[in-house]
Amino acid sequence: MSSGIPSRYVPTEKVLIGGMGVVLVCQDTNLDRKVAIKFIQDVRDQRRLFDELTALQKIRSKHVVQIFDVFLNEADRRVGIVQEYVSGDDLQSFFADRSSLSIDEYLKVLYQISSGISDIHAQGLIHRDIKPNNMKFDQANIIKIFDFGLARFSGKDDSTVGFVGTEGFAAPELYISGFVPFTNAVDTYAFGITAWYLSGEEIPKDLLRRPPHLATIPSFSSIPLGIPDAIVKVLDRTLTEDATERPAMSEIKDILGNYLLHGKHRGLLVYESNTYTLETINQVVKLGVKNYGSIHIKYDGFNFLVDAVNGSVFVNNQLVEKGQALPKSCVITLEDNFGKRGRLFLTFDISNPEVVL
Amino acid sequence: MTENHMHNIGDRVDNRYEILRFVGEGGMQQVYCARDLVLGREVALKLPKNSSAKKRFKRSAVVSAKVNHPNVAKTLDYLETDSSPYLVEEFIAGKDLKEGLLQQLGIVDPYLTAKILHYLAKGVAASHNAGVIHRDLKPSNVMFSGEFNLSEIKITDFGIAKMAEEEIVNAVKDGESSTISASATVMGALPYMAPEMIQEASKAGKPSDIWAVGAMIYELMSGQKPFGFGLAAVHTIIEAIPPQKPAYIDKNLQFQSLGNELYTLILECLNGHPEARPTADELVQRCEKLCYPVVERQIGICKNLYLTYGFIRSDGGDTIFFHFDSIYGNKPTVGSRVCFSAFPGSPYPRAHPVVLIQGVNTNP
Repeated sequence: MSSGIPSRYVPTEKVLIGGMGVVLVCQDTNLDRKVAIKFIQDVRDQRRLFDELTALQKIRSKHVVQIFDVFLNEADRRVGIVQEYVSGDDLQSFFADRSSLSIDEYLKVLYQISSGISDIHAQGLIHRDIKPNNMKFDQANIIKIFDFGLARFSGKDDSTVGFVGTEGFAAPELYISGFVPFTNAVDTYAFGITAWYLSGEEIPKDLLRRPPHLATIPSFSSIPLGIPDAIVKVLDRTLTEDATERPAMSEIKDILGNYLLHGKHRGLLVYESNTYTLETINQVVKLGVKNYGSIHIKYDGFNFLVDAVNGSVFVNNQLVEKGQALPKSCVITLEDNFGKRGRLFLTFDISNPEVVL
Repeated sequence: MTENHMHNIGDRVDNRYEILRFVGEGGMQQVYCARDLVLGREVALKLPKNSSAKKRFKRSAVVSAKVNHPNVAKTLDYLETDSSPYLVEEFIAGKDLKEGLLQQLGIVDPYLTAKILHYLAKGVAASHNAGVIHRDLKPSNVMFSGEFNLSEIKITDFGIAKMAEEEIVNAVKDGESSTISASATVMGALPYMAPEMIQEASKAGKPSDIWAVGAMIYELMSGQKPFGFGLAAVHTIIEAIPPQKPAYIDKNLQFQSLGNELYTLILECLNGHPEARPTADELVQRCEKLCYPVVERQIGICKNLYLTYGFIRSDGGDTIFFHFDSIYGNKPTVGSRVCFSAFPGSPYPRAHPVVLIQGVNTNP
């Protein structure tokens, strides 16, 4: 097993069987740390594999496992990929006991996965094998995605006639026979299935057919966790037949991130030497000075909205309308009611904690 | 290329890393940007400058390899050739906080400062949880990319400090009596050194890193080193005299609330008693509650100024309005370069905050 491994890597007892075959946990004696070495057997197109590995290096994401080294055994055309070793359980086993999973935890997990995939797509790459056992929590509880669909470089996979990915997670377009160009929407589809799996609910049978029958599948709203409407909508779109109708992963990430900040914003209002903070959901602040225009601002948990307006009120010098959301930083001008151009100025700044995992 | 460079462009190390350019050097090591010919990526290649650094180089590589966090530069490889050991790290396409931020802005607004503190605290917490103490946190050991957006912030040079330690302690001991010009290493590290470390280097612990974080954050927000510069700082540090509140915080109520929260945190980090300082994990928790807007930063030129407001021409070609109340730090003059965030407005977008770009050499 260990033949052909550079001597700096000393195999430990631990062998992981992953979606892509055997992964050997080794001690890197140069740096005194554990690494995970994955082998791709019988590589036919070495140059293309190395090109892909080069591309993978360009992904800037805290959610994607780092590659440290690559070595090649000329004799049996076996390539070893040395990666950072993440000691935790993969998401398939982590969620084996989901009885206590809260909606918040669930959405935080989805947020991390969608951030990772979105980072991969931002680099113009496709993962090709998104599924829960290709993701792990590290010690700091950050989800790491690994096992890019590199198995296709292995000669022994030729029998599967170009089919890549894992059944059940494979988008419908991957079942079309012959050479089919596909897009990063295959990752979006696999993310949708992953989201279904992680909810703890049984995956609808129609999703497990080959190819999946998407016309009859239930909405994410049927999952008892109680997924908020806006998120249900975007998750439902991940499982559409037409790949072009699936949302971009960055859109999914933004919607999830926005939800995770629900109720955590703070609006700071400054008038002369007074400050007032608006941070409770449904709280309304009424600004009004006798003989001047007035405005009511309401926090709905996501935005600070103009709840009512009387007279001439400007936000960053634009006439304000009821229902509009205030920009993250603005000056509110109240004009006098007599057309004398008397004006009072207030500043309003919105801040929020960063999405914290 | 100066003659002190230990490598020339095009040199190959271990037949794998090709030197692309010289990046910089500290007291202990030189840093190059190199191409990893196997994986086709750019890496930072570091090598020790002298024999005492050489001795400890492997140890420092092993120490930094233990930390794996998005806010800590990743250790990719360590190798030894006949001539030298090398540490290979992820290459961060950017600058360090000293050169890229302090020497540019001089004074950093509370919003951006809060973000930096948050990410630094996370990186330090990850190292402390891995049992690693940095010992030499200072602005030049924190790299960032994404210009004034600081999209990535990474702590680097773990374990290097251990090498510099003896040199620093010796200099401090001789300090006030002698007129020796202490080395660059000493002068660079001193303003961020905790009192217990100055008194006895072996007492450096996790709280010493927290002190350094407090000192750095103070410097960002005030433009001043909390205890002064050079060996004169030694006395003030040992007495742990709390630095004054940066005056700009109270000048505008929009900056005041976050500014005061940050100042409180700074003072807690700069507590003379190591055990009284927050732990890195506690610091992260406190940062998670800080509210600060993360809005894209732009750069532009101050075009004209009136009594209480002015206009900026952004590098993107837009005209942006700003009120003087939105200025944090020194006031720009016509023609100065400024860093700002812009929000929708009429007839022009409105900038807030506005920070003067002072250019190089305002910060020692």
